[in-house]
Amino acid sequence: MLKLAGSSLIFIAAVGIACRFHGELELHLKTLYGIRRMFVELEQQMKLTMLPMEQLLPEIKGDARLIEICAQIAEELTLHQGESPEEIWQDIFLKQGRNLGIAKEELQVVAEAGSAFFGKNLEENERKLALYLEQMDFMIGTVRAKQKEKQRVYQTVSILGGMMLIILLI
Amino acid sequence: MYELECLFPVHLRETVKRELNTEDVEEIRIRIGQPVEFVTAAGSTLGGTDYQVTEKDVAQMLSFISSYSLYAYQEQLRQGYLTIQGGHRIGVCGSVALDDGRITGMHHISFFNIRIVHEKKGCAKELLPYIRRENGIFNTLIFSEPGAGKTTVLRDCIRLISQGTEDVPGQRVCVVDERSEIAACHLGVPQNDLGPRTDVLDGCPKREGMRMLLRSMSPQVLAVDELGGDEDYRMVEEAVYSGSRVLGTVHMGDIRELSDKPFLSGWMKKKVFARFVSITREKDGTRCYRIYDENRERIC
Repeated sequence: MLKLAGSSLIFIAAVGIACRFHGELELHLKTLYGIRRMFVELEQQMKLTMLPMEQLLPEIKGDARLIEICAQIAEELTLHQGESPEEIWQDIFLKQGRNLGIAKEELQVVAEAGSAFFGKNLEENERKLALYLEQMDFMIGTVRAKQKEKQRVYQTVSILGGMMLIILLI
Repeated sequence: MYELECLFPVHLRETVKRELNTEDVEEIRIRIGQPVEFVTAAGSTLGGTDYQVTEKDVAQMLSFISSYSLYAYQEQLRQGYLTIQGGHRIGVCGSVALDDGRITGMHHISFFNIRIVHEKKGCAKELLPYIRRENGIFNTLIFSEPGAGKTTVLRDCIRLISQGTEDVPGQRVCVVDERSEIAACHLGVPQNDLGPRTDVLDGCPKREGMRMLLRSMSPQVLAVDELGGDEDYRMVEEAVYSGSRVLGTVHMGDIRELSDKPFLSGWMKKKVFARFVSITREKDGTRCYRIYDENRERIC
C-alpha cells in the first residue's frame, strides 16, 4: 500500500515538473511578445501624442513586470541627473530584467533598444526601432521553433525519470 | 521654481537656485563660452561666478529641456522656442536647417533664453473698467514691445473676465494657446489660473484654433496671444463678425504703428477694435498702461 502511495506521489511530482517546464516555456514566449508589444505601443504613442518618454512610459499596460520597469525608467528620467537616457534604460533593464525570465542575449537586445526612443526625431526613432523589432521577431521565431521540441523533451524526460525512480524504489 | 533648476546641469543648479531665490529673475540667458546671465527688472547680472557654459552643458540642458525626447519638440524647435512645465518659455538659437527655403529644424543649438512665467494676479484689475461694457467687453488689443508683459496682462484679463464681479457676471472665455504660454497646460490641465469659465485649446495654431472654438465652444470672449500673420487677422475678423468679442495681443511699440501695419490700419478704418492697451516698461521695471479708444484717443 505504501509502495503504491509513494509511486503515485513520485508520478504526480514528475507530471508537475513537466507542467512547470511547459509553463516556463510558454511564459518565455509570452514575455517576448509582451516586450515587442510594448515597443510598438510606445512607438504609436510617441507618434500620436508627441509626448516625452517620461510621460509615455508610465502609461504602458500589460505585463506587470514590464510596467514596473517602465515606471522605474520614467522616474529616473524625471530626476535629470545627467546620465544619458539610453544608459538609464539599459541599466534598469539589465538589473530588473533578470526577473523577466528571458535569455541573457535577449535581455541584451531589449536593454539596447532604449536608443530607439530617445533620438532627435521620429524618423530616427522609427528606423532604429525597426531594427530592434526585426531582432525581436527573430528571437520570437527561434523560441517558437524550439518550443514544441523542448516541451516534448522536458515532458518525456520528467515522466520517464519519475517512472525510473518508481521502478528503482520498488 | 524646481522645474527651472532641473533644466540646468547638476553643477550649475546651486547658482541658479540662489539667483532665483534672491532676485526677481525674468530671464536666464545661456551662451556657450559665456557665464550664465540673469535678467531682472533692474538689469542683468552674471550669476556671481566666472564659470563659462560649455558645449556639454548646453547639450545636457537640451536633453533636460526636452525631457530626453527631442522628437516631441520638433515643431516647437523649428519655430525657435519650447514651452516647458510651468509655462516657462525657452527661446533657442543655433544653426538653422533649410529645405527649399523653409526651416526644417535647428542644430548646433548654442543659446537659450529662459523666460520665466510670471502670474501676476490683479495686474489687469485697473484696466478692466475701460475694457468692459454692458453686455461683455470691447474688442481689445493689447500691445507692447517684446518682454513688456503683454501675455501676463492678457492672462489676468482672461481670469478677471471669466471670474466676473458682484455686478458683472463672468463670461465664457475661450483661449487659443498656441505656445502654451497663457494657460501653461501640462497634460491638458492649465497650470495658471484663468478663471472658472475658461476653456483652453492648447498647442493649436491660432487660425485653426479660433475656427474650432467658434464652431464648438460658443465663446463670449475669444482670447489669443501674439497675432501676426494675415490668416490670424482674417480669423479675428470672422470671430468679431460672428458675435464673439476678441481679446488679443500684438507686438507693436507705439499706437502710431497701427497705421503702418496693413491689417491693423484696415481694422482702424472698420473700427473692429474699440480699445487698445499699450504697455511700456519704465527704467525701474514698473509697467505703465495707456488705453486708447477706436479713434486712437487716449482715455486713460
